[in-house]
Order: sequence, then structure tokens, then C-alpha cells
Amino acid sequence: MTDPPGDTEDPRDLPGTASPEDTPVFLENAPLDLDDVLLLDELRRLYTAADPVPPGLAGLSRFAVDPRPAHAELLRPREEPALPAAVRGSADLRTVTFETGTFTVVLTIAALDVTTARLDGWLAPATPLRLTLRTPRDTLTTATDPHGRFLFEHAPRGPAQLTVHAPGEETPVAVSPALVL
Amino acid sequence: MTIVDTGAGVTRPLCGRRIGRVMDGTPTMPADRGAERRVRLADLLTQARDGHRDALDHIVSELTPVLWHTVRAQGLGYQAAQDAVQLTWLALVRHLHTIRTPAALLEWLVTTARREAWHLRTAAREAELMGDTVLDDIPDPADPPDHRLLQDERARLLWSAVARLPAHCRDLLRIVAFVHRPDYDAVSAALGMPRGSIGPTRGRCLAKLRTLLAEDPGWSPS
Repeated sequence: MTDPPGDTEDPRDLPGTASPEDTPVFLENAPLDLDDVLLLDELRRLYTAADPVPPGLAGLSRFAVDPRPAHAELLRPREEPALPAAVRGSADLRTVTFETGTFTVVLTIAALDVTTARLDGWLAPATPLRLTLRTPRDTLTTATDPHGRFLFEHAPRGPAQLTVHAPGEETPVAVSPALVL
Repeated sequence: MTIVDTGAGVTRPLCGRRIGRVMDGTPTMPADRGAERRVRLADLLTQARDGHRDALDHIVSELTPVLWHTVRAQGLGYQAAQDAVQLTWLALVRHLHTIRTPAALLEWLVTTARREAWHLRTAAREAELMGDTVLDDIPDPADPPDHRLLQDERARLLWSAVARLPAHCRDLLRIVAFVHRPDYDAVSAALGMPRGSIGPTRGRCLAKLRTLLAEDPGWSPS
């Protein structure tokens, strides 16, 4: 993205250039005046209308921080682009890849019906780890197989948070943001 | 201990006093309440450290909008931006006990949100180099909003002027518009404005925007 032209057209950059009578000159180092405050107010209303905060975001965030996972790494998600339904076989199939500094989790989410989804996962490098899927109602648990694969066969659809644990440990080593299955 | 919530943040106008024209019913930012809010957020952070769940929820509810606009200004798509905001909150939980200056919570969050946005963008770019086309759904931050909004002549003129600003000014003003006045300089500093030029940088961006608007015969100052 390139800057739009006009960056150098500040009137102060052109000494001796008279501004048209009806175009006031605004000084950069003037203290913030009421018009600045009003303009920022208008900008906020404009952005609020043009690009509103997704309605569920604060709620999902509160859900995600609720267990207070103080020492966990972050599972940073990357949603794969949705392929046309004809290619994938189903419109209700998506793949999310999570990266931490030390491992990668690939999660394929298939909606089975309106209330249930199947999650096929793969953790690399393959490590014996326990995984949980935390939902507002309960927490499902599974473990990786020798190849790093894992499965949540019947997960309730809605908000869910993936956490990764060392075997026998309650405290997660990594947590994801809340997904909406 | 109960949670002391002395203000309603951005959702309630100050004693019925509003500054600016209300175009859409969105309450205006009570400019003179910012210092109080800073103290209140620092208190909430201290309470959250002590294990008060509600305190953290209050912080998340109040500051999610400014983080949303921070990461959207970084050019993240709709889903990635939501992830970046949530990752910022998870990072806060992780660093709850190591943030040395509770009063600087807002700057810490804005800086972290930009870093998370950068992480996600970098990962998306690497995936693109691998052959995926994940950046396709990331809109240009200067994309016009939908046409319903632009039927409002004033909004259309303002949007058009904003779109002609240099990108760094557009991003700075978008974020500053969502913080309170006493936080302007601290947040601008967190956005990487050189020390000593913070006021002028913000002022220069506002001056550019006001100049663009003044040149527009259709625009009348509020």
C-alpha cells in the first residue's frame, strides 16, 4: 500500500505560498483545541459505524482469559482460506493452524450437524501430550497418538478453547484464543 | 473487596454533557474523565492481580474496542483481527504480575496488540510464500465502508479526507480517536512516535486532516 499523494502539500512546507483566503492554516504544534477534540469524536463515530467491533468479541475474550493460564504459550491461529465447497466436499469444513514457538497444531473442524462438530488434529513434532477442548459447558480431553494425531469426535458447537498439557499436568503449556466451532 | 467502578467508561456521557454532534447516538468521549479512568484501570489491574475475576472482565469489556481498531489499522482481516485481540488479552493474563506500571496498562495493551497483529501477518505472509493465498481476505484499511454509511454526506467527506492522509497518520488518528485525552501522548508514544515529537506528530496529522477538510467546499466545521 502506498501513501496517498499529498504528504508534502502541507502549507507550512511551502514558505511564501499564500493560502487561499478561505483555507485556514492549521499549525502542527498548536495545543489541542476544541475543534481537534470534536474531530477526533467524529472520527471515532465514523470508525464505530464503518468497522464495528464484532458483537461477540469481548465475550469470547472474557471466556478465553477465564482460566487465567499464567504460564502458557500462545497458540497463534491462522485460518486457512476456505476452498470452494466443491473442492472440499463440504462447506462446513475448515482448517485452522496454530503455531507456538515450539510446535504446530493443525485442526480440521467438520460440522456434523447444528450442535456437534468433529475435530481432527495433528501436532508436530509428534509428542505425547494431552489436549483439552474447553467449552462453556464442559471440558473434553484427548491425547496425541504416536504420530501426533488426536481427535475430538463429538464437540459441542459454539465457543471453544484448545489447551495443550504435559501428561499428568493440570496447568496448560499452551492455550488458544476462543474459536467458534 | 468489591470492585470500585467509578465511571461508566465510554458508554455513558458525563452527567449528560456531550461534546460534538451526535450523528448516530454513539456517546461522545468525556474528555475530562480520562485521568480518572487511567487511575481506575490501574486499580482494576491491581484487583485482577489479586485474583478478582470481575476486575479482569471489566478491563476486557472496556478496552476491547480500542484494541479492535488498533489491529484493524494494522490491516488484519475480520477473523485474524479477532484472534489478535484475544491473543492480546491472553498475553495480559500471562504478564499480569510482571507489568511494572499499572498506570501504563493502555499503552502496554496497544503495543502488545500491534505486536500480535504483526505476528499473525508475518505467519500469513510466510504461508503465502508457501503457496497459500491467505492474504486475499485482508482488506486495505482505506477501503470504503459500505454504501449505507456513505449516504451520510458528512461521513462520506470525512472518510474521503481520511483516505487521503498518509497511512501513519490514518493509523495514529484511528487509535487516538478511541482513547481519552490524557492518554493521547502516552498512546502515541507507544505507537512508536519519536520522543519529543509526539505532540507535533499527532498535531501534524490532525492539521493535515483539518486542512484536507477545509479545502473541501462541502465540509462545514462542526
